[in-house]
Amino acid sequence: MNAKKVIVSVLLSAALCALAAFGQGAAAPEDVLSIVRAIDAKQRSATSRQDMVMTTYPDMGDEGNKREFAIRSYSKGEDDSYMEFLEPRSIKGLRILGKGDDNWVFFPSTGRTRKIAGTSKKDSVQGVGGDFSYEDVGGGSFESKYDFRLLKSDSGSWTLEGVAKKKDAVYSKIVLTADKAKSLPTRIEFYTEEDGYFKDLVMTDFKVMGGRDAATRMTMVNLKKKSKTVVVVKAAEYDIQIDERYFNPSRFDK
Amino acid sequence: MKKILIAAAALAALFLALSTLKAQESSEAEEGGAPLADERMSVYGYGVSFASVDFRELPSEEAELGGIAYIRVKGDFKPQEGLSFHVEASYDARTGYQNSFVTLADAGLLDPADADAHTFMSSIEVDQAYGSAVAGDFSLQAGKLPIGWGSAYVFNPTQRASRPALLDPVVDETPGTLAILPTWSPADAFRLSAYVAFQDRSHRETVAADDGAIENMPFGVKAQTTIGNFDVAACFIKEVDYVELAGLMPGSYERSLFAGLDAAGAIWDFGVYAEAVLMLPMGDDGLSWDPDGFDFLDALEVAAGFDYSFSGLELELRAEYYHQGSGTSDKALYSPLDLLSGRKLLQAEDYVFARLEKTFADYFTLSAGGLVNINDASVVAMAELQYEAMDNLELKAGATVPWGPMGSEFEGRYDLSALGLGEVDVMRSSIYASCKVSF
Repeated sequence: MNAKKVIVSVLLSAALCALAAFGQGAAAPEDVLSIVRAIDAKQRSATSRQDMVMTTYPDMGDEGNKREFAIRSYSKGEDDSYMEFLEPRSIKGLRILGKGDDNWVFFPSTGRTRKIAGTSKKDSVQGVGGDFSYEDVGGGSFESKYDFRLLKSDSGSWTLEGVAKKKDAVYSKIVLTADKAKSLPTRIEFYTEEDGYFKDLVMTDFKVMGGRDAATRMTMVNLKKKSKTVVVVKAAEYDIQIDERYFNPSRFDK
Repeated sequence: MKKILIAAAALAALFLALSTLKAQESSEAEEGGAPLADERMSVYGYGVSFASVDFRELPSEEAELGGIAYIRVKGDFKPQEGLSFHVEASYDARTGYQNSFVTLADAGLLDPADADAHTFMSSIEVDQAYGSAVAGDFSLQAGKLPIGWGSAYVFNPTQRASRPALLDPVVDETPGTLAILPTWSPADAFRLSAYVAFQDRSHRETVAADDGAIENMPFGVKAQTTIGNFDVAACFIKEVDYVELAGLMPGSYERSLFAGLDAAGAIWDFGVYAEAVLMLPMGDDGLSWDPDGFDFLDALEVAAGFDYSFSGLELELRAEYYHQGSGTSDKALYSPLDLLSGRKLLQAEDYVFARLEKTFADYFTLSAGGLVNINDASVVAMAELQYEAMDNLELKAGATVPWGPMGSEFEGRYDLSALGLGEVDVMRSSIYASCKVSF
């Protein structure tokens, strides 16, 4: 299996899960900056451990044509992440360490750890049946990337439009819908200058996991390619003690 | 025969155990919201069926077939956090020209009728079996373990604990070496690791009286740090190789000391790496310092390369240059005995490997490339179509075409008449198909 595909798949899953896992309770501020900050605040945790299953559908209309990955992940702060593949068996034991923009991959067959080249955030993410850019899987708060305005506010949700602060941003605009009671995003529409509205991320099946309210099912649809990726979080724990070796480039394979 | 029956029974038992485990995992996954199975103990692996034909002789009756059946079973046991055990066992059956004994018999290097000749069609081996312990900044691996040093993709000058299995059609695992490997990592920016091995690089099946001599103990020490975008390592390695070829090369130990450097990182969107060792000037005993006649380029072994992904095209390019100072640029000096004994798999000084890989229609990957001997202008061209038919089913079809002028390395035919033997053909033009099932 193509190593880059695998890395991308895992980074994607981790990023989506981070996006979905927020703290409990919510204020209901009506000024835009407070809303965005409330959402950003709930993405943060000191550490986390998650079990997830990611399913890719190259053709969103063909549910039988799919590939499934089972992944265990650990994260620390915004920069450190560790992933281990449990399924499929063909890549079982493959481990990926991310520290900021640096990535290392441990290949269990050769017993070798390799450093993987950084990739432009503009690059299309390959191999998971969708058009995810590395921007999707990177860190950073909504507030730091977009200038928001309130499009709509009803009894249960806010709809915010965020315009990119940087001219060279991957997305020129996003439209974010968030649940008022939870301060959790339930849907994000992604726009680019070239393609307009072309991706849609929907978060559903909210459950309490690890003491936090979190979406346990995330579906990313690529409207241009007609493909989708579904990530289901099976279990999650937050702010727990995690052995430092998982985040050490020379020992994460041990 | 008895050995094979026992192995077959053991493998069958493992499959039965595995099917039970898989059933348990599936039922847990269907419950939803339950964590993935915490695999304290797991058994997994893969099986490969591989068939090839030497098409250079087609359609004549001289055309030969080759077949491989390979099963690798892996097991993990994690009794507690920070402590684990790993084992890998393989069943390897090769027929026709895929069996190295057939090639040797063709050249008259061994007689299959000789009761003492090693002419096995199949073998069963516990290739890896080791424990790992992690405590604080220290970790320790001990047993029969893979020592995979080096950042390069095809050639690894710093990997001296085992011989490389270059261009093997089914196996890409690093062979296990009897060794202990401690690692100390007080900070992310600094890692120190070392190994002491209890067998030489040849991993031969038989023992020799001097195996236990301390001068025949290989070791390596590596210090690694991170500088900007690059992981950089410096190492010092002692290599011990036992070289022999029945009737032609009496067994002897070859000892060498190497100082090495390794760097891997990124420049723009290119992944780049370089890995090099310098063989230090030692005397014939491999122990005493002897700088007389030292030639830097002859002592140098380097692999350097890059990889690049073409944005939006699902296309990857990889290229690697390899310099083997101990090789020769004069093809008249090629040594088929070095090749057949495993002492040196490549004969020349300079090589380039390149490969282009295109993914399409979601599950298909087409790759094409080759290994070029720059010194004698011979090449091994390779093309392959891979299809991931299911999560754990991979189908491949491809061709390997060695080509070169007469007497060149990849032309592949060596005349051993001076040794009273025949011609040996070590390179085959193969069309192949394979099926790999992971479990």
